Amino acid sequence: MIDAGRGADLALIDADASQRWTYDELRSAAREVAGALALPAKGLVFVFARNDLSSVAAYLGAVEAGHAAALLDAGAQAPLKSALVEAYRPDFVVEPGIGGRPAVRRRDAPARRVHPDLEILLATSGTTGSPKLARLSRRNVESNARAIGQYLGLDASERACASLPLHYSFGMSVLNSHLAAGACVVLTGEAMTRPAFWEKLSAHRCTSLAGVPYSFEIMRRVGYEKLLPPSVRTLLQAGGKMSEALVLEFDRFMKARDGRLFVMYGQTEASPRIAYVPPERLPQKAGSAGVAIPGGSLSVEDGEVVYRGPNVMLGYAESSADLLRGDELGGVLRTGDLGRLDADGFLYITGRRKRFSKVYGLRLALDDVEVRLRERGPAAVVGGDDRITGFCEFGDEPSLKALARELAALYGVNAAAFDLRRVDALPLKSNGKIDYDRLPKTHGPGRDPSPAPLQP
Amino acid sequence: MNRLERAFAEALGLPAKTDFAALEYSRNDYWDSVAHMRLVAEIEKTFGVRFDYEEVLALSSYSKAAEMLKKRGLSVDD
Repeated sequence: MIDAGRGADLALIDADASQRWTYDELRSAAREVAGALALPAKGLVFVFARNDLSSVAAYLGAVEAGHAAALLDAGAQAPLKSALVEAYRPDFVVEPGIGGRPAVRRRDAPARRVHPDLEILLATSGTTGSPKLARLSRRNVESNARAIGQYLGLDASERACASLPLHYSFGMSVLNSHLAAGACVVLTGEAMTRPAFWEKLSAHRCTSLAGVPYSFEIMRRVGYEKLLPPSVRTLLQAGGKMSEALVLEFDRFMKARDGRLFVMYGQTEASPRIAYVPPERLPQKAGSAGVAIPGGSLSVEDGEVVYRGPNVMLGYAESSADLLRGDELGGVLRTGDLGRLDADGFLYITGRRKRFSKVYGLRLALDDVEVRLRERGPAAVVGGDDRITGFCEFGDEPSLKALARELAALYGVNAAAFDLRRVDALPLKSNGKIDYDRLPKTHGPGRDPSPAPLQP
Repeated sequence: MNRLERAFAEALGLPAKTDFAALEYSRNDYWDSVAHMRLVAEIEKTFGVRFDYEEVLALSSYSKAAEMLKKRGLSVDD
């Protein structure tokens, strides 16, 4: 994965710890971790990751040692972490450490075989509350990193700001694609709402910045025109459909500075990149998810978007026993998204087969949320961009607010994502099922109208 | 609670007994980038103001917010 990087070139800058590694130093750090992960056979390593050097060393070290590595959120709540450990029984649990050295703990694992092709496990965002993981092979991850490098035109002169979490497939792909191109990755845990983020972006002369649609709304509200340093030539957007107005605005802005906005589409199940809009096709193709990445192909079958390519996952896992399974999809991913292709082969997403909401880049299954609410009483859940509204026949304002916080903690999103409202009675169809069309109308995305409202 | 405290409690989902004077960005679990945008919108709505770009980034504590409103001649009390 880091083959292209030349020895003395910079591979990583930890902008928060003010530490940097060359490719030689990164390789030797990964080797050191691999040495601490010695086992007689292929095992499973849980890498609880933060955006720091130790987490990258842990991830690459686990892969170097020949194990399967699950990239997970170091900031997740303790009960969620232990549920995952319980379900998968990893041989090692690795947590972030200081000075680029992760903390490795050996655990008692069951005797089992891990499939030789399995290399990375990632939480599929639709199931954050459950232990379901996507199983990815080396071929999946490497082919995707190379395809991304190809359409972005990455080379060793690039310096990507990696502020998205590494356990998030988009964040992982920024790291992988740049290391595969011999470029430098700047790691930070700072948020775009902090002045320090913009200072670091500028101080380290980053050339690109990746974000979900909400990141672009933040950029607009904090004044990206002044804050984006001239070194930034490329903006990468994925993680949900961004409004056409924002696509047009950022496309115009970037082109005016001789830069580029890439609008992209993907799923964790595709390691994750599936499609991208070539910047020269904007603004004409604003609103599109783009064309298939190099090496992949797109079709629409019975209204559903189907992707074929070498980056389609092996399958899902839900427990330790599933680690033995091999390729179950044969390179064909039914995305669950509804869409259409135009005459030029550009994909337009029109909806979801199952009920999902994209909340700040994360895909949450509405039915999953609904099941959790129904543990307390009758409830129905509807979703919009960045907000999930639950209508409950129980509770009062304070208790529903507390419940919203609980849900948010469970799924690892901000409490603003959940709006729980008390209703006297849920509208029912004649068959006794909830009539979602007759639920009170929710006004758009998860934010209040303010003097200059952020567009959804 | 005064008007500003109520705006913080609403936007960040804080309990009433919060020590607002000590509230700072990232020292509080509820105050992340998403909550921050919500907080800015909530204060703007409550006080009928519009913060400029620099202020949106500088709004990093309860006392900073109170100071910004004071500069505009606005009182946080009802």
